[in-house]
Amino acid sequence: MNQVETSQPSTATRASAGIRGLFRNQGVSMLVILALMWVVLAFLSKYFFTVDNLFEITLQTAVVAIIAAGQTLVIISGGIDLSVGSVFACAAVVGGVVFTSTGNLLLSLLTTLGVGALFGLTNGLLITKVRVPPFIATLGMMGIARGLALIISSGIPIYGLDDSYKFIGQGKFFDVIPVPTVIVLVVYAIGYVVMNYTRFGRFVYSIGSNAEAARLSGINVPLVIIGIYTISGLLSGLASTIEAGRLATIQPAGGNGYELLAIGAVLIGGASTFGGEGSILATLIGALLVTTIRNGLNILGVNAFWQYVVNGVVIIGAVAIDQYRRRR
Amino acid sequence: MSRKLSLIVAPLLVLALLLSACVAPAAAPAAPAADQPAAASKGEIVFIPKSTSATFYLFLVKGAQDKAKELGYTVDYQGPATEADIAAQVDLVRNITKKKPAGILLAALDSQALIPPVEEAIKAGVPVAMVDSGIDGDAPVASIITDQYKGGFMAGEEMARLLDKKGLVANLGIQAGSVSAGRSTGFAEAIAQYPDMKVLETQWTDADAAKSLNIATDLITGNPEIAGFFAAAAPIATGIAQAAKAKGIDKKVKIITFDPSPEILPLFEDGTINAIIAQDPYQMGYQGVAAIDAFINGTKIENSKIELAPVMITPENYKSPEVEALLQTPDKFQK
Amino acid sequence: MDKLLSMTGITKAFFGVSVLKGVDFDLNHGEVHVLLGENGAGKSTLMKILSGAYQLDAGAVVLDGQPIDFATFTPKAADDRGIVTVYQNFHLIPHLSVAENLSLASFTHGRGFIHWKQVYAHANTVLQKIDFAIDPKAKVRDLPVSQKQMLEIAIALSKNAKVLIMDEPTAALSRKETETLFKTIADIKARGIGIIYISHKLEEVKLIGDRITVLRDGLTVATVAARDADLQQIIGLMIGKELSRVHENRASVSDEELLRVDGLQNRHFAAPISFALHKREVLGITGLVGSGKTELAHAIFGVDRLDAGALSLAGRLVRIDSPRKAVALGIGYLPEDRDADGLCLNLGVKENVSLVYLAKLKSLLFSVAQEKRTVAGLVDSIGIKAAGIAQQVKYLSGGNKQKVVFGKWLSARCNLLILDEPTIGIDIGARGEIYGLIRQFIAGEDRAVIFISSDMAEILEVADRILVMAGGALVAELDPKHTTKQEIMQYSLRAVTV
Repeated sequence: MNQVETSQPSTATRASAGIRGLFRNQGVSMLVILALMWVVLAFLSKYFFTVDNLFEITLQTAVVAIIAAGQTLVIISGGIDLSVGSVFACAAVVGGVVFTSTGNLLLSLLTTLGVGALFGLTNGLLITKVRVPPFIATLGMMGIARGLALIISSGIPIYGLDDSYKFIGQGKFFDVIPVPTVIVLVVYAIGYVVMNYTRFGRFVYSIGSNAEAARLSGINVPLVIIGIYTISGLLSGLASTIEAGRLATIQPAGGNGYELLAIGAVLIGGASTFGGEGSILATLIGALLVTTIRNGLNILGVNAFWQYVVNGVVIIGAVAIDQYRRRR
Repeated sequence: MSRKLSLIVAPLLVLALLLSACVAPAAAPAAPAADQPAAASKGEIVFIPKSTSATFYLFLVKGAQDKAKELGYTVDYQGPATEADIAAQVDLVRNITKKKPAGILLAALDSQALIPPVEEAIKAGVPVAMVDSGIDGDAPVASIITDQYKGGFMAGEEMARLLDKKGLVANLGIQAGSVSAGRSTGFAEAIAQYPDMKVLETQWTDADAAKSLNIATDLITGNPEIAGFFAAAAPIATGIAQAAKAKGIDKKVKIITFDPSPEILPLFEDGTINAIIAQDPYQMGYQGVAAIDAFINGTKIENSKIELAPVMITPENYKSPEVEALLQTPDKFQK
Repeated sequence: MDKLLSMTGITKAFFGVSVLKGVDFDLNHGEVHVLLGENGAGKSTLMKILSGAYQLDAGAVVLDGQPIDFATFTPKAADDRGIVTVYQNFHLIPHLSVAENLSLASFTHGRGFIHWKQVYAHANTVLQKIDFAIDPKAKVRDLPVSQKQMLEIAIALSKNAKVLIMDEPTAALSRKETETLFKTIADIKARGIGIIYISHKLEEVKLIGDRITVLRDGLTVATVAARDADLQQIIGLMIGKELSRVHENRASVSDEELLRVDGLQNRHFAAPISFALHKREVLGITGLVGSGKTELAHAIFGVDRLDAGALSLAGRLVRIDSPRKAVALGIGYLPEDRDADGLCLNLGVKENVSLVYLAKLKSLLFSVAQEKRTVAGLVDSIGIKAAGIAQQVKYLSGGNKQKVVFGKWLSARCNLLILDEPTIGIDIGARGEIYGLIRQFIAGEDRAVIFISSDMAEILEVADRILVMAGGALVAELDPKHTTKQEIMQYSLRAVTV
C-alpha cells in the first residue's frame, strides 16, 4: 500500500492519469504548443505552411539548435556556458585559415571541431581544477575566444569557401532535405541516446541534482564535468561549419549573442536553472519555437520593432502554459 | 598544487601554440596596432571606429597611418566590438581623452550621444576630427564624412534604373537611429519617387551576416515576386547573396550594397551583386590626420566640413583606375 | 479542570484516500501530551488541521472552551488563537539575524521603515523570557542546531502561544542540549501552556511526557499516562506487529578481519586511530557530537586525505584517496545528512537506487530494461514504499529515503557498509526495517558493517563491539554485553583537548 508521508494526493482515477502522464513529459507539451503555433501561422499566411518554408525553419534553427544541444548538458549539470558564441567564431576562423592555406576540407573541419573542443576542455579544467564558477570561467573565455577570432582574422571575414564547404550549409539530400537539418537530427539522436541510455548521461543528471551525493556514490564528477564542457565546445565548432557553409564566408564577428539564444532554447524547453532537470528533445522544440516566431513574423511583414515585443510575449506565454501544465 | 597548475597550463599552451601557428601567416596584414614609433614622435593619434569588425575601417587606418608617417605621428586603433554599442563608444572616447593623445579621429555611432565626450576632449586640449560619420554641431576641428543619405539615394536611383522603374524591393539596414540609418532612409526615399515601385519596411540587422541571411530568406518566402535588395553594409550583402542563391533567384534579383569589402568583390565579379556604393575611407583617414596636424600647428583648416560623395561602382567602371583605388583588397594594407 | 484543547471525531481524506478516520485527542493546561505513530499514521495531518493548514472533513475542535470555526480557520487565525508549531526543519531564515527573525511577524505591521532599536529591544525581551542567552545580532545560519531550536521556541512563545506543537524537537540535539530543552519545557508547562510533543525517541517520551497517545492508520489506538506506559507494548501498538531486531537468528561474528585500520592520522584526529573490523561483524562507533565519528567515516571512505596511516582490506594494503576508489573496493557509505549528501532529491527512486551500480559499470551504454528490473526487484525486497520507481525521491518519507540509500549500495555489490546515524529522524517501524536490512546484509560472507550512532541505547542494542570516540581520538573498546550506557558516557566525556 502506498504509505507516502506527503501532502500530495495519490493518483486519482487511472484513465485521466494516462493522458496526464503523457503531458507530464515536457517535450510532448512543448511540441503541442509548437504545432498550435504552426497551425495559427498557416492560417495567417499562405506562404508559411509549405514544405520549403518548414524545412527553412529547421535550416535556420540548425545552428542554434546544435549549440543548444551542448548547452542542454551544461545546464542539466547545473552549470552554464557563456562562451559558445565566441568559441563558435574562433573555431570557424582557425578552421577557415587551415582551409584557405591547404584547401583540404576534411582537415579544416577537424580543426574547427578540435579548436572548439579545446576551448571546452579549458573551460572544464578551469571549473573543476581551479574551482572558477562556470559563469565566470565561461564569461572570461567568451572574451578570450572573441578576441582571438578577431586577432587571427584581423577582423576580415574569410571568403572564398568553395562548393565542397558550401555543401554543409546549402546542400540538399534528395534535392529536398537540407544538409543542416540532417546534421541536427543526427546530433539530437546521439544526444538522446547519450542522455537516456549511457552512464554518462545519467551522471549528468545526477551531478546536476546533487553533485555531492554523486561524488559520494563513486562518480568521477570532475571527469564528467570536463566532458560536458568539451562537448559544448565541440558542438559550437560543429555549428559554425554550418553557418560558414550557409554564408560562404567565415565571419569573425559571427555568433554574437548565440549563447543567449542557446540558453533560451534550453530553458524554454523546460530545463531548470538549478540543474538536474531537462530534456534534450525539449531543447530542440524550444529552438524551433523561437525560430518559428521569427520566421512567421518576417513572412507576415510585421514591423521589425513590434517583432521584439511579439517575440517576448510569445516566449513568456509558451513557458507559462508549460508551467501550468506542471502544476497539475 | 603543481599538478593542478600543470593541468591548466597544458591545454592553454596547446591552444596558444595552435593559434600562434595560425596567427603568423594571418598576421601579415597586421592588425592595426600602433606602428613602431620613430625616434622623435609628435605624439599618438587615436582612431575610434564604429566597430572593430568592419574591414572598412582598416582602410581608414591605412590612410591615417600613411599621412601620420609623413608628418611624424603614430596611429592607434581602438573601438567597440559591434555597431550597436553606442554607450561603449562614449566611454571609450572619455577614456582615451584621459591619456591625452595628440588627437582623436572618431567615426560616431550616434550624432547626438557623442557630442558631450567630444566637447570634453576638446576642452581638455585634445583635438577631435570626425571621419566617416559625424556629430551635430561645430565642436570638432574638422569633419570628413560620407554623405550617408546621398549614398543610399544613389543606390535607390540605380535600383530603379536596373528594374525599369517597376517592382518590389527590400531595404536591409544596420541599426535604427544610428548615423548609418541615413543610407536606408535615402534608399527608401529614392524608390518612393517611382509610382510603380514599392519598398518593404526597413529591416534592421545589426550588420550581422547570419541575421541578414535569415531575414532575406523569409522576405523572399513571404514575397516571392521580390525583385531587388539594398544592403547598407557589406556583411548584410553577404547574407542576402546567399539567401538569393539558396532560393535560386540570384541571377534574377538585383542586389546593391555599400562598401567594396574583399569578401564582396567575388560576388560582384560573378554578377550576384549589381552595384556597390563605395566610400573613400583612405581619404578620410588621410585628411583627418592632416586636419589635426593643421590644428595643432595653428594653421587654418580651409575646408573643415567635407562631405565626400560616395562613388557608385558598376560593371562598367569597375576596371577604371579611380575605382581601383577604392576597392578594399587586403593587399592595400599589407606592408 | 476544563480541558485546554479537545479534538473529537476528526476525519480527513485526500482524493478518496482516508487519512484520518475519526481521531479523538485532547490536551490539558500545563501538560505534555506525546503523540506517537509511524509515518503515514496521520500525526502530521492531524497537526496541520489543528494549525489551520488543512480543512477537516468532519469532527470538532474546541480550544479553551471556544469552538473553532473551520470555515474561517487559516494558519494566521490559528496563530492568533495561540496555536503555534515548532517545526523539525526550522522555519527560520538563515541569512537574517536572530533579532530579525524574531521580529519578522511584526515587520508587516510597520510603516515601511525598520526601527532597529525597537527590533533589538523586542528581541532581548523575548530571549530573556526563556532565559536564552544569545547574541541578537548573530546570523541564524551560523548558529548550531540546538540554538536554532531554542530560537524557534522563543519565536513561538513571543506569539503568546496557548498550545505549542513540537515536531521532533530533539532530533538534532545532543544529550546536554536535550536536557536544556526539557528544562525549558518545564518552564513552559508551569505557565499553563499545553504542549503536543511528537517524537520517535521512545525512552525520551517517558521522561518528558505526561500522557502518551498512539495513532495507527488514522485512528487513536491508545491513550495512557506516561509513567504507566510499557514501551514494548507501545511499540507493538504503533506498528501492529513485532519489531525486527538486528541480533535475531544471526550467524556469529567471524574471526577473520575484513578491514584493518592502522595509525590513521589527519587534521581531524587528536591521536592515531587503529582498530580492526571482522567479517560478519557490526562494529558500533559512538561518542558525543563532534567526537570525530563522521571524520573517521570520511577518512575510511576517501573523503578526507590521510596524513599518515594504513588501511588493509581483506589483508591487502590499499590506498583510498577518493570516494570513487572506495566504491571500487566495495565500500559503501550512508551519510549522516541523507538529503544533502546521499540522495538526488528531484530524481526518481530508480535513478537513485541504480547510481552506484552505474558508477561501477565499465561499459558506456547500459540496458534501461535491466536497470528497471534490478531496481524493481530491490525495491520489492527492501520494502521501499513509493508510488512507483519513477516517483521523485523528495516525496518519500524519511524511512523510505534511507531505504533508497541502502538500496543504492546493495545494488552495487559492496562488502563494507559504513552507516552514519542511519536511524535519525526515522519512525520506529522503519527503524526496525533498517535493522532487518542490516541483518540481511551481514549474513553474507565477507560482509561487515560499521554503525555510527550517538544514540547510546541504540548502539548497545545493535553492535557486536563498541568503539567510543571522544575529542578526535579512540578512547575505549567495549563489549556491549558487559557495559552500560553510563560507562559509555563516562568515556565519551573524556574530552581530549587538541
